[in-house]
Amino acid sequence: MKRTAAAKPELLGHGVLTKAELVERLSLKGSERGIYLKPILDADQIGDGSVNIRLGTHFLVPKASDLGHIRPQDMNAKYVRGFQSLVVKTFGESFILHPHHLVLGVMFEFLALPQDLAAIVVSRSSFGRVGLVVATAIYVHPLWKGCLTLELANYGEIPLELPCGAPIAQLVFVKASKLHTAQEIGPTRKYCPIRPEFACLMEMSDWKTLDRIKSNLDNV
Amino acid sequence: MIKGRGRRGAILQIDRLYSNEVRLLLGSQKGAVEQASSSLAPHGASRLSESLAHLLDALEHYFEEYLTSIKNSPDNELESKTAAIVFARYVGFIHNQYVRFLIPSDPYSFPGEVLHPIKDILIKFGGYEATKTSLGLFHWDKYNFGIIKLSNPLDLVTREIEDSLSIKRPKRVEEQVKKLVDTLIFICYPQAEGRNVFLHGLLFHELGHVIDSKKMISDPILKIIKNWTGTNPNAPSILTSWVKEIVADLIAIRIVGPCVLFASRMAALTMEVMDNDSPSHPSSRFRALWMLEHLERIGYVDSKSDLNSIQTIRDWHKKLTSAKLSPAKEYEPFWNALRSDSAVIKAIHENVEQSIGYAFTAADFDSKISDVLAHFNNNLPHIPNSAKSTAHLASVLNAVWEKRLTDLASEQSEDELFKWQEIICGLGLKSIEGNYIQNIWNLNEKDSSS
Repeated sequence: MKRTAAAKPELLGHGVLTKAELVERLSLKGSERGIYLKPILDADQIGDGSVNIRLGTHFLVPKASDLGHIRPQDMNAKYVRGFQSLVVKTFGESFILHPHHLVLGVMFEFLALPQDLAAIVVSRSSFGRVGLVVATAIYVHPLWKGCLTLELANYGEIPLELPCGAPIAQLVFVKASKLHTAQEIGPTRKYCPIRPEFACLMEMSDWKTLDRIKSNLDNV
Repeated sequence: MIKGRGRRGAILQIDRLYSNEVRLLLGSQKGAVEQASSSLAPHGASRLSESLAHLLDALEHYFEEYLTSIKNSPDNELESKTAAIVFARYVGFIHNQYVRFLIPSDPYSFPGEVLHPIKDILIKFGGYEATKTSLGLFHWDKYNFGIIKLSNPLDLVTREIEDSLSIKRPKRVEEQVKKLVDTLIFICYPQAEGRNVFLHGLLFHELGHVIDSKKMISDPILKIIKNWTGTNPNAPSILTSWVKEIVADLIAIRIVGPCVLFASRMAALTMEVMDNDSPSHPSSRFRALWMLEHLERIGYVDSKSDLNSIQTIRDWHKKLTSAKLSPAKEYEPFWNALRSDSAVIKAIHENVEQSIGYAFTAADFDSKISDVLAHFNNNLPHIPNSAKSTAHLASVLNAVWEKRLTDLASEQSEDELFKWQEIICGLGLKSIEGNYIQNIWNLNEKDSSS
C-alpha cells in the first residue's frame, strides 16, 4: 500500500531574528514581511535579536481613591478613572517612579508586526539592575499595531528618574510557526492605541462562567 | 472720606480698608500658584501655567513690597490713598486676567503632540522671538476656539505703579523680571475636541490672529475700504473684526492648506454660524468664499488631481463663486464694503501672500498626501526619517481630511466610520509627534557631535 505524504502546513523558520534579519525587515516598506517600528532615532537601538525601545510621554498613575479593592470584572473606562489618572510629560522630561510603585507607561515608537513574527517585551538589564521591571505581560502577537503599554514597576528602594525617550526596554522578535491572519487575531487588529491603555477586564467572558460556578458550589 | 489723625491715622485706615481685600486676593492667588506648581498636569498648559505661576508668585512678593513702601511713603494722605486704590485694582485685575490660566488642562483631551510644532510655526511666520514668547494650549468650557495673548503682567504693573508712586523696584523682583518672557500666548480649544485632529485647522486660524497682530497685516486694508453705505455706528469695529477673521483664515490656509476650510465648515455646522453673520464674525459661508479664492491662488482649483479634497474644493469653489449670496439686511453693507471693490479683495489676498510668503500649495498637497494616506489606510502613522516640519504637519492634517472625505463617500456604517475617525486622530497625532521628535533628535545629535 502506497503511503501518500499528508500535506504539511507551511513551516517557517523558528527562533529569534538576527541583527541582519532585523535590519532587513525594518527596511521593508509596504511589504507583508516588513516590521514597522518608527521612529528609530538611533541605529544603535538595533541589536542582535532585539531592538531597544524608548519610553513615551504618557503615564497612567494610580491615585488616592476610596475603593476598598479593585474588581477586575468592573473595569471599564469610568471605573478605572476612579483610581488612575493620566499624566502627560514632554520628550526629555523625566518621570519619577517611586519604590514599589506600578504605573502604566507607553512605548514611544509605533509598532506593526507582520503575519509571521511575534515579539516579546523585556526589560533591559541595565535598568533592571536599579530595580526597574518594564513588562509583566510580555507577549505581542503577530499583526499587532500600536504603541505598547509598558507596565513599569520599581522594585528597588530608591526612586527612579526615567526620562521620556530613554531606551528602557527591548523588543525581541521571534518567528511564528505559521502565518497568522487578521481573522484569527480578531477585532483588536484595528485598534492602534497610542497612549497607555488600561485593561478592559470587564469584557472577559470568563466572569459569567465563574459566577455560575460559584453559585453552583455555594449551593452544595 | 478717610478720617484719621494725620499721616499715621490715614495709613492705618487705608491699611484696614484695602489691605484685607488685597490680602484676600493675594491669598487665593497664592493657593492657585501652589496648586499649579505642584500639579501633574500636562505640559503646554501647565508648563506655561508654571511660568505664569512663578511670575505671579513674584508679583505677590512685589505687591507685599509695594504695600510696605506705601506704608512707609512720605507724608501725603491723598497720595497714599490713591496708591492703595491703584494697587488693589491692579491686584484684582491680575488675579482675574492671569490666575485662570493656572488651571491645568484635562490630560485626556490635551493635544500635546501639536504644541511644539505650532510654536515653531509661530516663531517662523509670526516674527516672535522664541526665548521671549511662551505658547500654551488651554482648554476652556466654550464650544469654540480662541486665542488669548497676555503681556508680562509685571511690566504692566511696574509701569503704572512705579511711575505713579515713584517707587524703586526691589532687587529680587528685578531678578524675576529678567527671567520671564514678554508674551504669553494661550490657544484655547473646547475640552471635548482637544484631540479631534479634524478640527486642528482651527488652531491655525487662531495662530493667524497672533501672526496678524504682530505683522499688522489687516491694518492697512481697513484704510482702503471705500464702499461703505451703511448707517451702523459700530461699522468701524465690525469691519475691523471681519477683516481680521478673514485674514486669520487666509494665513492659516497658506500655512496648512485646505484642512482649515474643512475644519471651519465642520465647526460651523455645530455652532450654527453657517449663514449667520455677527458683529465679531462674518458667516461661515462668507469666510469659505474668501478661503476658496485664496486656495485658487495657490493652485487648488486648477489642480487636475482626483483626490477627494481637491474635487471638493473645486466643487465648492464653483458653487460659491457663482451663487448669489444674500446676507441679512443689516449686514449687507459690510458684505458690499468688502466684496464690491476689487481693490479691497486684491489687497486682502496680496497682503497675506506678501506677509507670509510660504504656502502649502496644491502641488505640495498632490505630492505628499498620497503617501501619508497610504499609511493611514494601513493603520500606520506616517513618520518619515526627515521632513520639513511645516510641510509634514500640513500633510498629516490634510491626509486626515482626505481619509474622512473618502470614508464618507464609501458605504461604511456610522459605527464603523466613527471608530475609524478615532483611530485616524490617534495616527495623525502620532505622525506629528514622531516626525517632530525625529527632526529635533537629528538636530541635537548633530550639535552633540560637532
